[in-house]
Amino acid sequence: MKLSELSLKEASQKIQAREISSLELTREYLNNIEKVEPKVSAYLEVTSDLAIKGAKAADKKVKEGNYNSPLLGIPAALKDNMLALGTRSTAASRILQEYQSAYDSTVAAKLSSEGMVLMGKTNLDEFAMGSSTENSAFQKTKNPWNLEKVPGGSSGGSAAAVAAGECVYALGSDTGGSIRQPAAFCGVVGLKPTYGRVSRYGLIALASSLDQIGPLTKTVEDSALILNGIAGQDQNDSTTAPVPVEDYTKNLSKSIKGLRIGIPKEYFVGGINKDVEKTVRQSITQLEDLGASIKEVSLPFTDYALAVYYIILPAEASANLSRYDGVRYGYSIIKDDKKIKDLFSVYSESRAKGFGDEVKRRIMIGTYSLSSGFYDAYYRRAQKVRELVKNDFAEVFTDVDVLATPTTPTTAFGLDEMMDDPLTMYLSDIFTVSANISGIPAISVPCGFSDGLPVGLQFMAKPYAESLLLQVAHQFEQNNSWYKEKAVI
Amino acid sequence: MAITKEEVKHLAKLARIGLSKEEVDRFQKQITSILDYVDMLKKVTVEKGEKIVMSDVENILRDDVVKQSKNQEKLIEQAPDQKNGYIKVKTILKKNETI
Repeated sequence: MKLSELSLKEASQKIQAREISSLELTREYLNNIEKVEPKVSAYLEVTSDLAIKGAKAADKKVKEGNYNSPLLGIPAALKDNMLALGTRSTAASRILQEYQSAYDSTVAAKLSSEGMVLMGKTNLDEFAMGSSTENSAFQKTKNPWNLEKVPGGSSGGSAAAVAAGECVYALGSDTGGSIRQPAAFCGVVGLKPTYGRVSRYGLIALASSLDQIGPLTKTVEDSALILNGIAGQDQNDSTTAPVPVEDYTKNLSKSIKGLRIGIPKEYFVGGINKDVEKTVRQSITQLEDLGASIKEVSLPFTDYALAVYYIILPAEASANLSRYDGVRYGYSIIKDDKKIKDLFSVYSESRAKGFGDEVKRRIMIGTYSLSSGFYDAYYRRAQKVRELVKNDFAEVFTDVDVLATPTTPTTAFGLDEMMDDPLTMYLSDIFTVSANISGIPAISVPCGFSDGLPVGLQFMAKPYAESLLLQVAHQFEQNNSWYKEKAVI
Repeated sequence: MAITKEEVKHLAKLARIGLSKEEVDRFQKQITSILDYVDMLKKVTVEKGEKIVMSDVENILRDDVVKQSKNQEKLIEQAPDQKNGYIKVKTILKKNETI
């Protein structure tokens, strides 16, 4: 097996046993980046110097007998909406094209203290708004399984980088499916932890009541190892909960015999691709073979979740993105037009030039739903329906332990296929948004292929039940060999 | 619910985004189709009263202790226009104008 195909677990065992050095591993990944990156375009910035420096520091630590973490010396990538000292953080937007991270995000700081080797920053839809990574202001990332398809989004760069062997793992952010949907499209594992489990300090905010950071990995066990490193309360993010951090690997090998798995019937109706449905149904049969009891359940408000999402997200985004004003940092029109006449024009022209279409659209929709006269009809109503969606889950989890659904209604679609029709693009998040609306944890694992493209199986559980979620996902994964399939580029 | 071009222009003004004529036309159609979609929420019966909280945690407080903040110079350096350690903006008050 090539070094670039090792899972995090395998690579870390070899580093600990001193069979390989972090420097060897890092060089292998840098070589692989050089080879495949011209085709895949997963990275916005490759930080080779930082990586080599990090690898040498890790090797020194191992040599001195201070091996302290399975993440020590492991090459990783961060989505480019997470601040990390020594890198730019652009959120794939022209308005932040030159922005140098002023400090470390909590996740970057935590992973650095565990010995992460930072390979670079990955591409995304501008400000994480999108489902294909095509809304990046800088480049289009390709799906490693088929270079004419999208990698999904918004963490498309992170998913593609893992699938293409350009890093061992990557972090993404998930506001409505932005970790799980690209993980499904690229055949990797994507975990969105519970809202409040991982600090968002230093994550460029999109919608603050929905955003959550999580890992994209080759295996479920790798996800558990990374969650161990990034979870926990943080005084810089007061939405993080004072819930103790477990060892998320501890239940992985336990059998799922007797667990109750719910299949929500609302996730198997119109619009779902037949092949995807078949593959997911087969996976459910496997779960039954593994000893789980399968039960059809109902989440009656599922149909409204996406509509709730497309009111709440733009509303929060319009407030969060008001900070890009051409005055404090980022792009300003005054650089290009010295004669710009007044402050209002500085704001509106900096934003006109700095933001792309999707960002402008969402800011305006958010402004609309928050404006007086429409606030009650849109924003307040959406918040109330949100409670109903949340209650659906609270109720169903008194009856079953986890839910199993398809991650997406289709496999990866073609590049440029959906760019003219934002609403159709939004529909690709239909199975993933509910977890964000309700704040519950969810994971996507590879469960087969359709026409050479990966299919994802999603599990959801109640808040802070990540151990259970990872256990079920791991047991399913290890009963198959899908995770061993590698994209050939 | 259809949104007019005038409304799009007004929204753009509120949101401080300059739009070209072509953008106004395009966004009018796209925003209308998105608003039509979210209109389905009007079918849901919701109760009165309001609960708009996401986290179950509330009022996380810390002790009020003085500590070193981020490097001010470095933060101000990122401002597009600056003078003597201050961020510079266009004049907002005209001469002889009183508040």
